[in-house]
Amino acid sequence: MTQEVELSSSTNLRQDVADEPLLRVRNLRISFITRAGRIQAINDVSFEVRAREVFGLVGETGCGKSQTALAVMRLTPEAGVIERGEIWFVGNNLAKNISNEFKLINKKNGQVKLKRNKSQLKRLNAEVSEIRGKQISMVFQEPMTSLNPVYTAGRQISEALIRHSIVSLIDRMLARNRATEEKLKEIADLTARSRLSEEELHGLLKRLGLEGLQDELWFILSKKDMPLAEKKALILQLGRSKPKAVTLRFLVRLKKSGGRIPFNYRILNGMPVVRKLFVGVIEKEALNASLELLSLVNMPNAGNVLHQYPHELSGGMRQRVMIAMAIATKPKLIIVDEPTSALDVTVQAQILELLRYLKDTFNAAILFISHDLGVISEICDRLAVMYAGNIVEVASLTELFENPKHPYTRGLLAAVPKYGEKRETLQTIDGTVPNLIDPPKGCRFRTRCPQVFDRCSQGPPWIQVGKEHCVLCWLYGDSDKHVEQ
Amino acid sequence: MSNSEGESILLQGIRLKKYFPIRTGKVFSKQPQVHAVDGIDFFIKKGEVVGVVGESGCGKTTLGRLVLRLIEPTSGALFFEASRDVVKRYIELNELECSPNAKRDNRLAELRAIEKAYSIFRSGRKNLRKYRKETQIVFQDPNSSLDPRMRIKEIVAEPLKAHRYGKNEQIYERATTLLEDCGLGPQFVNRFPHELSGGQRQRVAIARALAMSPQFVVLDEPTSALDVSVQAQILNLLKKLKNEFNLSFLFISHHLIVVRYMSDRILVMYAGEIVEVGKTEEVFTAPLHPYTIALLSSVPVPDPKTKRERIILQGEVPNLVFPPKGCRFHPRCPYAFEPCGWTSAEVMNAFITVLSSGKYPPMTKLPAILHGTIVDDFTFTIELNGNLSPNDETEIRRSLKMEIKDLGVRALTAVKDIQIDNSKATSIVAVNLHEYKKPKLNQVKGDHSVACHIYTEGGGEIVIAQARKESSLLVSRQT
Repeated sequence: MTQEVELSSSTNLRQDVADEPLLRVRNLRISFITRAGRIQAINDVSFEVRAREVFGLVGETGCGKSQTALAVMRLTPEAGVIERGEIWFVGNNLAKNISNEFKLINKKNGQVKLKRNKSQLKRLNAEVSEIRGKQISMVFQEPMTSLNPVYTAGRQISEALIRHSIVSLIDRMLARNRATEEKLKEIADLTARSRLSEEELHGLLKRLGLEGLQDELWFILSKKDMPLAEKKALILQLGRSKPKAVTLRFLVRLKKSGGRIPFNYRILNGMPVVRKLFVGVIEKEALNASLELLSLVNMPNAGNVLHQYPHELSGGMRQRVMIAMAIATKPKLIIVDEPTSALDVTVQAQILELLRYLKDTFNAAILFISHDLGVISEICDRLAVMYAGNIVEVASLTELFENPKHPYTRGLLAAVPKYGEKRETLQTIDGTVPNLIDPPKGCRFRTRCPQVFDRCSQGPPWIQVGKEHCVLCWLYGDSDKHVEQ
Repeated sequence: MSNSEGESILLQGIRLKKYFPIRTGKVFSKQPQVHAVDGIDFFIKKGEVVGVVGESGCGKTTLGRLVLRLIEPTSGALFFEASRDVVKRYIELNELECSPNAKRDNRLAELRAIEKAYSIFRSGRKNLRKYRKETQIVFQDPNSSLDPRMRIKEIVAEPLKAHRYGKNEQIYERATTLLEDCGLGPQFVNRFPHELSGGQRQRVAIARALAMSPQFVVLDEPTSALDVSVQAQILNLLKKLKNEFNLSFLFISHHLIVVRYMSDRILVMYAGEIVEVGKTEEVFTAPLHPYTIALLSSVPVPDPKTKRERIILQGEVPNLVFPPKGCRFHPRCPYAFEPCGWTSAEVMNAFITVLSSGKYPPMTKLPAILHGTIVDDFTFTIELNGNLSPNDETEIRRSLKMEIKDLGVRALTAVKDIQIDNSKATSIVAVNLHEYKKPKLNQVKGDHSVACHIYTEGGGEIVIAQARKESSLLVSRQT
C-alpha cells in the first residue's frame, strides 16, 4: 500500500485505469449495537464510483447514505461495525480484516455487547490514514460543526497540507531555490506566448529541473482577470525569496526522511525563536499554498479569510473553506455529504458551480450525497437510490428520472412539487420509514409499497432492466434476468 | 398598496419595523441595531395563503413573529379585521405625517387614537387574548416545539385549557377529533412526542395550532425538517385543512417550489424589505425584480432534461446592522444603475481597483495612487502621486465606461462627473456621484408590485426581458 501512496504523491499526472472503477463497494453490511437492539443500518450495499464521474446517493433521513460514505472512509461511529463486505479503492481493500476488528458477546439477558480489538483498530488507522484525507477527502454537511472554532481558516487548511503533502511543500521551496532568473524568464516567455496544458507545463518544468513549481505556476496562469504583464512579473518573482543555508539543509534532510522531522532537529524545533528557521518555514509555505487554494475556490477577499476564524465567516464562505481543505491534497475521490443543505438557494448555486469546476480541473470523482432530488439532478452523472439500508435502484441520471422502475423511486419523484406545474394534491408515499431494529422481512419497502404482492416477503433480487440500470424489486423478476451485484 | 375590491381583508400590516439592538458593552455610544424587518406593508385576505420567500436572515421569521405579536415591534401598525375606512384613514394620515412639511396639529393625535383603538400592537391584554385565539403558529422543528414530557392529547389540549374551552371531557374529545383530522388515530393520543416520527410530530403541532379554530395561522417553514415523501403528506394535509376550515395562512419558507405549490400570493423579501409582491403564478412566470429572477433561476429543478442557464449572484446577503443605502440589493444586482444607492465608499473602492488594475494599456503609465478620501456620501477624492495629462483624463473616463460594459462593475455607473485638479505636485481627482433614492413598492400591472428603480426610471421592461431570457426562466419542460 505504501508503494501505491508514494506513486501518486510523486506526480500530479493521473494514470487512469479506464475500466477499473475508482471505488467499488461490495455487499457492505453495517450494524449498530445499541441497548435497544441491533440496528441493521446498512443491509447489503454494492456500488461503484468510476474515475471522474459524479455519483449520487439519494435517500431520506436514516436510509444509510451518510453511513455508507463514512464506511468508505472507515469512520463508522463507535457503536457501528462493518459486519461484511469489501471496500475496494484503487486496488486496496479498506475492509480487509473486518472479522478481526470486533467481537460480539451474547449476554445472558439476551443483549449483545460489542467488544473491539484495539490493536487491530490501531493498525487499521495507520493504514487507512494514508488514504483518508489524502486520496479520499470529505466535505461535511454543516461547516460550522466540522471546522475547528479555535483555529483560523488558513491554519486548518495548512494542517491538511502538512499532514499529507509535506514533501510537495518542501519540493516547492527547494525548486524556488533552484530557480534562476534565466530559467524563470524562459518559463514566463513560453507561457506568455501560448496557453500550455498541464502536461506541457509539467514537461517544461521537468526539463528545467523545477518540478516543484508546478502548482504555483499553474495557479498564476489560471488567474482569470490578470493581465499578462502582471503574470509575468509574478513568475519572475518566484525566485526572489531564497531560504537561509541552515533552513535549506533542514529541508533536504526532511525530504530524505519523507516528512518525519530528523532526530537532531527536534530540539531546535522546540525552541520558539529558532523554530522559525525550521518547521516555521514549512508552516509559512503551507499558509501560502492555502491562500492559493482559497482563491481557487473563489473565496472573496481570500487574503483576509486566511486569518479569520470560522465564526467570522458566512455559511457559504465556511463551505468554501471546507472544500479548499478537501481539494488541498488533490484527492482522487471527494465525498460530499449534503454540502448545500445548510445554505440558501443563491449560495447553493454558487457552491454547485464551484464543485463542477473543481471536478473538471482536478479530474476527481465525486460521491455526492443528498436528499434533494433537485440538487442531485443538477450535478450527478449516475445515481443510486437508497431506502432503509439498501440501494434499491441504480441508473444514469436521465434514465432514472425518465424511466424510474422501483416503486419507491417513483413515489419519491412524484412527491416533489414540480417547478412548472400546479397540481391540487401531491402524490405521497404512505406510512413511514421502518424501524431498522426489526425491519420488514424480505423487501424492506414492502410495508409502504403500493404494488406489493406475495413474493415480496422474500428478499428481492437485483435485476438489470436496462443498460446500466439495475433495480432491487420482484416486479421485474424473472429468474434468468438476475445479475450478480 | 392597493386593496383589491371584493374579498375582505383579514390582516393588514403598515410600516412594520423591528430592530434588534446589539449589546456592545459601551454605555454612552449609540447602540447598533439589526434592521431585521424595515418598513413592510402587506395584507392578507380571508381564506388566502400568502407565501413569504427569501434567503435566511432576510427577516421572514421575524415578520411571522411580529404578525402574531410574539415579539414587540419597533414601530408600525397591525390591523386585524378592522373596517376598511379606518385603515384607509390611517394610511392617509401616516403618509401626511411622513411628508417633510407636515403640520403637527391634531393629525398626530388622530393617528395615535386609531392605533390605540384598532392596532394589535397597541391593544391591551384583553384584546390581545382575543387576538391570540384567532391566530396561531406552526414552527419549523417539531422536535423542539413539542414538550417532551407531555402526552400528545395534553399537548393539543393545552391551548383549549388556556382559553377555557369547556369541561375536561369536552376538551379531550376535541383534542381527539383534531388529531384525527390531522391523520393521527386514537392509538396515538396517549403517546409521547419521542415515540412519533418527524411527520407525525408536525401533525401534532398542526392539530395544536388548530385547536381554538383560528382564522389565521403562520406556518414558519413547516416542512423544512421533513423528508420529501413526508413533506408531501404534510402539504396535502395543510391544503385540506385550509379548505375545510377556511383558514388564512402566512406560509414562510425558503423552499420556492413548495411555496409555489401552497400559496395564492407571494411576498419576496430581501434584507428586511419586500422587493416584490404578486400572484404566485405571475411572480413565478414573469418575475420583475432582478433579485426574484436570480432567486428563481437558482432553484435546482429535479429534472435533468430542463437545462437552464443560471444567474449566479455574486456575494452574500448584506449585514443588516449597516444595511446598504438605497435599494438593499444594489451591491449584488447585475442591473444596478445610477440611483440604486451607491455611496462614496463603494464607488471609491471600485474606482481605485479599476485605476490600479492596469487592464488598459494606456493607463499603465498613471502615477501611483496615494490615497482616497471620502468627503460625503456623494463625493470622494483620490490623490495621485504626479500630474495627469489631458490624455489621461479622457482615458480614465473611457475606462469607466468600458468597465461598466465589459465586466459589470456596476458601482461605476453612479459616477456623475470627474474633476481633475492638476495645480499641485500631486493631482487630485474629485468624483461626484448621482444621488440615490430608496425604491418604493410600485404597482406594475394588476396586483403585481415591485420595488425597483428600473421600472420607475424607464427601460425596465427591456432590461428585465433580457434578464429573463438570459436565465431562460421560461423554459419549462415541454418535450
